[in-house]
Amino acid sequence: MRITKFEYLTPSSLEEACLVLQQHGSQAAVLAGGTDLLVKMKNPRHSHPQYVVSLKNIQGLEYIRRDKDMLRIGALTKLDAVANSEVIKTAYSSLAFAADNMATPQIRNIGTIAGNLCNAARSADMAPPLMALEALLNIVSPQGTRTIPVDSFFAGQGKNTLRSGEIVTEVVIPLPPARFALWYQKFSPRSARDIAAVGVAVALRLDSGGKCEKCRIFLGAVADTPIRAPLSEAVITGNKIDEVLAAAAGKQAVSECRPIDDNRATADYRRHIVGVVTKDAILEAYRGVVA
Amino acid sequence: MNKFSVIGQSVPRIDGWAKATGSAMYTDDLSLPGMLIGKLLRSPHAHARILSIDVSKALALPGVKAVITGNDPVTNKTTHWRMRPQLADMAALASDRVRFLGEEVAAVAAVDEDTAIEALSLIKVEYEPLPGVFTIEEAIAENAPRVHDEFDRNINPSVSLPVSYGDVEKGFAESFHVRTDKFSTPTVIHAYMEPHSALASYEPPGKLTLWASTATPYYLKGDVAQVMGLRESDVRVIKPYLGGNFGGRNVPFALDFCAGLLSMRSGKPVKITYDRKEEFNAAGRRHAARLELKTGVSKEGILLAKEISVYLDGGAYNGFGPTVTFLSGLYHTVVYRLPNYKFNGYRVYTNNPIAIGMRGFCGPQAHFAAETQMDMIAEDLGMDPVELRLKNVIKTGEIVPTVGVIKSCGLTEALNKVSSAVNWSGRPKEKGTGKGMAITCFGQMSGANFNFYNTPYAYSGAEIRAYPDGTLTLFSLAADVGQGSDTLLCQIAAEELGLKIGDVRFIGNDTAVDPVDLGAYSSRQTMFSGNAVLAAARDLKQQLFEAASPKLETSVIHELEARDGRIQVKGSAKRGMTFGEAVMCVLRAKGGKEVSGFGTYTPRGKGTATPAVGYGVAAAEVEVNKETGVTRVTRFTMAHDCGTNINPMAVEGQVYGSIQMGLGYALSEKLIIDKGRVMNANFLDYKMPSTLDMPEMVSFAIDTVDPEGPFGAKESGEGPINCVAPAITNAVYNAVGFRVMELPVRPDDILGLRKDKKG
Repeated sequence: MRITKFEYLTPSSLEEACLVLQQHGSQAAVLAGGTDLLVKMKNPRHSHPQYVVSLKNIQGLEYIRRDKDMLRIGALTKLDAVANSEVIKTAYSSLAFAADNMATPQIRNIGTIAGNLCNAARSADMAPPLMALEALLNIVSPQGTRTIPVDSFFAGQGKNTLRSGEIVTEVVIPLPPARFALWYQKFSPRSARDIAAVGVAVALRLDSGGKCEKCRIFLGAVADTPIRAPLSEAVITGNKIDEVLAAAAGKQAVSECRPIDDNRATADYRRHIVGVVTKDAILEAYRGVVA
Repeated sequence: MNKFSVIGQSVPRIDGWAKATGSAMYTDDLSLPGMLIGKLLRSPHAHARILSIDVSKALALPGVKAVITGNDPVTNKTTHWRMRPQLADMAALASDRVRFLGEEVAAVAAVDEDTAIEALSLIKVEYEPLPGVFTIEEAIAENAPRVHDEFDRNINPSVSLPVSYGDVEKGFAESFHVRTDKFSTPTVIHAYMEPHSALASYEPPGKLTLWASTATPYYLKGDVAQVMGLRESDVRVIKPYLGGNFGGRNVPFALDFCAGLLSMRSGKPVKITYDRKEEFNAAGRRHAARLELKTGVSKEGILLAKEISVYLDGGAYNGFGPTVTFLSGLYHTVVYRLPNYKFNGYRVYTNNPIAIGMRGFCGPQAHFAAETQMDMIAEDLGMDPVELRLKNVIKTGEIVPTVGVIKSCGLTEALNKVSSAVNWSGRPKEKGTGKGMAITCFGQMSGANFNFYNTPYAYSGAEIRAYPDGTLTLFSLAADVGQGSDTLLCQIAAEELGLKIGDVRFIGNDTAVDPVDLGAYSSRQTMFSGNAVLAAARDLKQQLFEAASPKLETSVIHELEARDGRIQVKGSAKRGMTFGEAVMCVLRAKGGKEVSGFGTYTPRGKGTATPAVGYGVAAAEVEVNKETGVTRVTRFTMAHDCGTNINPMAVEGQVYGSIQMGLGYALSEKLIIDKGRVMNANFLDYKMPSTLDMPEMVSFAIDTVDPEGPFGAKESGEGPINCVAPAITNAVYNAVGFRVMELPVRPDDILGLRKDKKG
């Protein structure tokens, strides 16, 4: 497979990049790490951009820092940096784990956090935990800036809600309140850091009595996009979490997912695994709070 | 105590430094001045008539130097089957019809890869699609579309040879218990680390040098010469370092011929290297198999009769498939004593990509069925499955009609060794705990006795030149494909001549330089090439003794030995000379002629199939997650009877590699082919086990000495994979009660989530 011919553009500022993107519209694609884009460009079944707009010459998009009660991650931050950041590990070890369990070291050294989201794969590992954490995306365009929650960013398999000329610049995550924990559990039959057949993120806040005060559950790889599991959340919310309740929530999640049959797993098996993994992730998140 | 000085030592590979540091050159690393890049145009149809091919636009593209198609006069069939030309069924390029998706239709050579790829897109081929057959069942149906017009129901009768001895009907009638079971195994691929590559340089008039990623340089030389219309020795094949073989590089592929033809046409060197997608789609795969086994046993658990029927999905052409078909029965006869045996094997043409030989040559398919059924029989009889095996395994000295005398067999010792290593008798007996263990046996030929190529040469030849500085050069065409045969052959030469491994330089892999050796397949390099090297060393040693003897003033009662770098009177280091001094004696006596020993090995009268059989036993310990259905192999133990263990480290490598490959075969690997199209032609979707999936591994060597083997050695490259999958799947049964009849076993099979599957 060969990449078809394209023009490679290297703007040195966000303003310039946005203008170039707006100018070329759907014929342009953004290159952050390129680990997804270049593979797609070799695939004859994908449409091929005539212009590849690299962000690599734009300074200041690669950082992880605490800013008051927020965690700010620059769009071009490498997955490996997310995996190994002490700041992230302290706040949300499970988010670091999600990055650390993606693909291979070579990919993690090049692939970026925003790239993983913008590529909008249903199995994107960064999405469910960020959605569970109510993370936000800062976006710039020639018209200005806007902020949207990650959980409204996905529009379908391989599609996001960015408009022409827009670039994601930053991921913003609220720091954990008291009695709060996140757990992301990924399942693939092979133990290698494989593509997820199912990924489940659970964010839990307990009240002072130990009951679940708030809960957000997101399922990856089992619908067109990562999806929320509100019915499963409802089972947990307001209750004391134990094995039986977690299993009931898992069962509810099975009814909420819409997996496909493909060469990696059947829909039936994915549904079954959603139940198992949701249950396990709820219990792990719970242990994360009470521990 | 080791009676040898070099044999039996874990000698590091002589190519280890180059490979570990990255300085080793593989075919695709090579480049010649003016070299062009070749690319192949492949059929987008699984079965179609070619109505026309128009290459004019491709030829007109600047930078394109040559284009060839199957309509050029290169239509000679490409094959190793000189003795059985009726099996030669594939041309270098398709001319009138394509029979699988990915079949090569045209080839271009251009100044660079981009130009070559663009040129492919400019070739216009008009196809008329034809109905195809894609499963064994479809292919053998009445009035099924024919892949090759001459073969009704897509079976070439000259491939399907029945074999039998004894009287199975009588055996079944006398049996206390008879059971019939059906098994199914998937197609998987070799997944070499190094893709196929060929670099050809045509030197007018009429000479060609071909660097190729082949395991059989001698066959390839003849095959390429035949297709190009050259004399056999006008073609010089050089095999650079090779990144994996696993039984697949012993047949030629389109690139080997097309690189040569394009070089001849363009007058420039041409290199073609397959990309990974081509590797998945059109570079060979293991035969998928449907096996039916009917087995009868006495009340005491003695096997009385076995009847086997095997159907193999061969894909569109023969490759090495006829041999695979024959061997699919043979394995059943060499492990357990069978008084009555009947085998029918059918290799079925389909419009799937071509199936060829792969590590074990149907051993994994045959052993999966046989070893699963052995455990089922043991359960039926209420007998310990290890006890059942101990009652039936072949012993040294027994005669197997399909092979001959089994001159060494360590199966009993291996069963005892493995049983005690895993504490078999102390294992938890209850089922359904999620943890399970199972023990299986294997047998594997040590080199094939068949002469399908009609070669006038010895099967293996070797030359050793000796120099007055006490060093040697060993010439052999044995193919080190990654298994370490170069190192092993140097060990044999050094041992016999009393030298160190560092005293030997290996010059191999060049058909214009080395004595003929048939190459690496059927686990033959140790037995065949090793014996040739040993014979050459003995020839050389005799010359040294003859020249040294007068100088040492020996009499008829004295015997000489080559030891510790010296030629000396046996047991008397003082009455001797250095090895180099002895070489100088020969050199002077012969007026300066090179001091050289020659040796050959051909297994004449050494049985019908192979001169020796390698054996072994494996134990798998697994944990099955009852919620997810995922099986983890926690420990894998293997005891391998490879005769004298010439290089324990190399044998361990073969065992570990076999466990990895067998683990994938059992649990995750399957090339998914839908209507002839490979659906998972990448390593994301084709699930090979990674290092993280590997269990703890324990390897034992069972010491036997095979009288036919060099220093008593037998095979180790293929046998160990044979029993890996059934050890794992029988352990799954013992863990959760799910009997695996179809590989690979999937988590959803185990959980009962697939309605079409039951265990």
